[in-house]
Amino acid sequence: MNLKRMIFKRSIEILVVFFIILTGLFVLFHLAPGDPVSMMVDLTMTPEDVDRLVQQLGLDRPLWTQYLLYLKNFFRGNFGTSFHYGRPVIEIISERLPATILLFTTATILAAMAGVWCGKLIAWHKGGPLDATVTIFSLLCSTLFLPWIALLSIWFFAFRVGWFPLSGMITPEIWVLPNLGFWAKATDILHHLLLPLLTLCIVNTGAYLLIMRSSMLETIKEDYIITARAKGLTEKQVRNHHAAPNAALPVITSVGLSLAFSVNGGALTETVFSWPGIGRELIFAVSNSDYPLAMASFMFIALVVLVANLIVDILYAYLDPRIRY
Amino acid sequence: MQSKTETGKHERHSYRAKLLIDAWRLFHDNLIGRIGVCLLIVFGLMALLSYIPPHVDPMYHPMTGVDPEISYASPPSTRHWLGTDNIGRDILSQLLTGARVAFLVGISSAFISIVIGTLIGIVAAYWGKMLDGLLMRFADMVMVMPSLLVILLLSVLFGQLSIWTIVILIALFRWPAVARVIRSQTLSLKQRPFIDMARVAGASHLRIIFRHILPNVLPMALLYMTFRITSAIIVEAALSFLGFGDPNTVSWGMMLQWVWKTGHMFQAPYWLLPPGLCISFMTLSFYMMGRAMEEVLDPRLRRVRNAKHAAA
Amino acid sequence: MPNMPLLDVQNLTIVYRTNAGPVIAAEDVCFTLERGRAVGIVGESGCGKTTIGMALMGLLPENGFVQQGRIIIEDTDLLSLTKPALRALRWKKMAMIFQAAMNALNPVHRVGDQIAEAIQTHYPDYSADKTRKEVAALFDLVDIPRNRIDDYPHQYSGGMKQRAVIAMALSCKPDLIIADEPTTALDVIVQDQILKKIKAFQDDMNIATIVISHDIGVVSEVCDNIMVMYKGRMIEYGKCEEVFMSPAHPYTVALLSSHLSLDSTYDFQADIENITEAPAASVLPGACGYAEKCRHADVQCFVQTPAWRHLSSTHRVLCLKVVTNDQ
Repeated sequence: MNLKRMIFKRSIEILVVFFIILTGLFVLFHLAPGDPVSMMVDLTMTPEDVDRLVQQLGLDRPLWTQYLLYLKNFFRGNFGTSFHYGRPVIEIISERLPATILLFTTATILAAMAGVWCGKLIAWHKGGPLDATVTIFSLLCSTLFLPWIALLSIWFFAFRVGWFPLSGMITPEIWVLPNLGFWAKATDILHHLLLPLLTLCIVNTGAYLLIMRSSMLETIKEDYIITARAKGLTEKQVRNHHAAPNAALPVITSVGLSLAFSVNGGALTETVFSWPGIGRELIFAVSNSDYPLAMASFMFIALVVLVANLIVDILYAYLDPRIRY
Repeated sequence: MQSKTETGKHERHSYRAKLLIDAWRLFHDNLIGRIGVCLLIVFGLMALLSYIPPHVDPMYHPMTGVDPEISYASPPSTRHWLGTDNIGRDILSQLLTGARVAFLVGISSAFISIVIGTLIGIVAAYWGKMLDGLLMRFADMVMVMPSLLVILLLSVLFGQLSIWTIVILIALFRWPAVARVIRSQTLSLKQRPFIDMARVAGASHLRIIFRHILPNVLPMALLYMTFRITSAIIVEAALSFLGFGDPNTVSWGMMLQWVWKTGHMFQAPYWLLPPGLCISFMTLSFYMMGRAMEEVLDPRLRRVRNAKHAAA
Repeated sequence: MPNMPLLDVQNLTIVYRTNAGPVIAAEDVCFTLERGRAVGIVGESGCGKTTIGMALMGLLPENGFVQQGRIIIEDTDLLSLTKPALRALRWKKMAMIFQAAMNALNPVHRVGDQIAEAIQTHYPDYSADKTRKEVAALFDLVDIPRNRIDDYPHQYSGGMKQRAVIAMALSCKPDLIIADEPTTALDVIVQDQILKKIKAFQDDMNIATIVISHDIGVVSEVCDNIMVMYKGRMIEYGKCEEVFMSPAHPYTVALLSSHLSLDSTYDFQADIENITEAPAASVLPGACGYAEKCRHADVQCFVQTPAWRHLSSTHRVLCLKVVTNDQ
């Protein structure tokens, strides 16, 4: 089947892109001012530690050997030790990655679905007061400065009203309790998740809604919509079964294109809400000049974006038979 | 012969002038565009006014001016219309300066990115084949890069970034969308007979590009510039918010960082609200202007409602 | 009652509201149609022929409305129906064959499913299995291999798409089929096959057909009667042979001569040139819309409202200066 071939092709492309990113990082690292050894060396390290590190990274060997070692270290999951935590970077990353994926995927999926659903409805009532209100409101929302709206929502929903916790992903006092059930844990995480999720959705939904609305207005002019009406279908059937599936396709494309942008927003949201994700870790590592952690965090974020892109492509192909067959 | 080309030129000029007038009229009729322009004028005035406060009294200097009597965050008063920050600097004058910085970052970075994007788009479409494939793959790759995070990474490797480095870096990550649009426009232009005619007449590649293609893709490039401005402003604000802005300038993002990092976000709404509102409304106004321009430039969007059926 | 017409259109006037004021798209259109018969509506694009088709389906765009007149199918006046009642009639009473090149099929659904959807809408008690069998029978009827039922529209050729659209129109056994440009954008051989199919169903199933086309040749192959339209008005109506052999309106003459071979003695050059520029639908003053382009027109034509002249019991023309065949 064609779909499999497409997935295969896209996966290869993604591998190539990722390889280029890895290489780019290596080049940047060596272009940076200062001695690579000193960049990778922490003040607390003993001379033996430094020697071992130099050996491991091949910093005393020619550049291309260093490059090969760099790639080898990457594929072995050896990213060095974080200066700040004093622990292997890979441990920190594997702790942070699930939190990011949880926030990022739920936010993206929710925002896209809400945007498609609302856009579909308001496009159908085009020109009415509801349409005007929702359009202007989503225009406003989509240009809100994300960190600011995050601060505001913490101030209002968490500080003033007290509906949600101020920050973090879990309540440590609860989690230390013995025999804490799965559902109690899940509820606690969900409670922490809601506010950052809401913030991300406010900003992203507006943009998707506007795309869905205009795409829907274009689709309504298509001939198959007239066919569907002529067949005697109800307006709701025409809208949901004939117009919406076609109109949603550009929204999916734009979800794919805005993934990088969403990752920026995700990192900012994680930072403001102290959500223990990989984006916050990157920003944190950058502030502390924790090179190994910063580099590795970036690599994994790039990987998340690329994989998410692949998933969006597959979803598009699944929804548009013209690609699939 | 001479006079004939002269009149041709004249006609073309008057035709262009008419197009411009039509475009302006359409733009003027567009409510969203009008709101956008009005908001922008307000921000423009803010940027201009930013030069005044430091002349009134040195304590109104946005960076170095400190009120000798106030060394804590104070709410709005007659002395400080929008209050002061935690070390007694005037929030209003910071806000005004922030408008200037936002314009500077937004416009210069957007300009650079559309220059890069337009050139790459035209080159890719004009020469096609391998080069086109390579350039567009490259564009795709840059497009999936989370620009904010890459710039952060660069700042850890290369140290503190100045405002101009930030401007250029933002531009370097924001050209692919422009390149794609300009490429497809150039591709359709290439099909038109006048390009072939120019080629047959012996025009050089450079002449064809600059005389015949560039003027035709320029409106689209300008449209994309407004969208690039919004994203440049947002990225700069986010960088400053995270504490990686140029420490020698005040920007709105930096003001938000100060509120946040000094722990005043729960106590000082007069400090938290203005910079965020300004960033949001400035991006909104450029975005609105862009949408309105899009409607003017893209006849597809402008099409009279149901014209298709009315004609049938 | 065999004599009672299936469709009776009386004084139908349709107006579009536009930014530039109201535009009359069709004015005072009258005709009747019996079961098993076919009428063709001919005219250039913008003359209002599609508007009539859409009005018969109750599918005028939002800014269009019927200003006056009646559309009666059997005993029901379409214009007096509520929306749900009209929906129930659509496809069961009157179906439409759309121009397939115009994306009449939804690209994201399987062709078979799109036809099944029509059946299930009007026969909700059919089981999935029965619907499937019906669809397969329809595919046989229009000569599309059964193994293509689960294909998507983009996998079909142009002719197959058109046949699928015909199958869809037949799916609920309608009494009236409106074919809007059924063969435009198809090559000549396929065009011929499609026309033969339409003709066959019309005869076999006793379906009344309205064929809308800009091509008078297409219409003449399928139809018993021809209606010529110009700028929203019917200008000539008659039996196919009558209109073909003795066209009366100068516009019909021009239309025919652009279609027929060049051995006609009629000097049609000027008229052909005129037809090629599509007129914009505009508010008609009472006078003949063709007067400006007509080589027979005189002052009267510009000021006087033309009246119907009956050339025979079946042939009538809306012109002050009837052109006779021997001119």
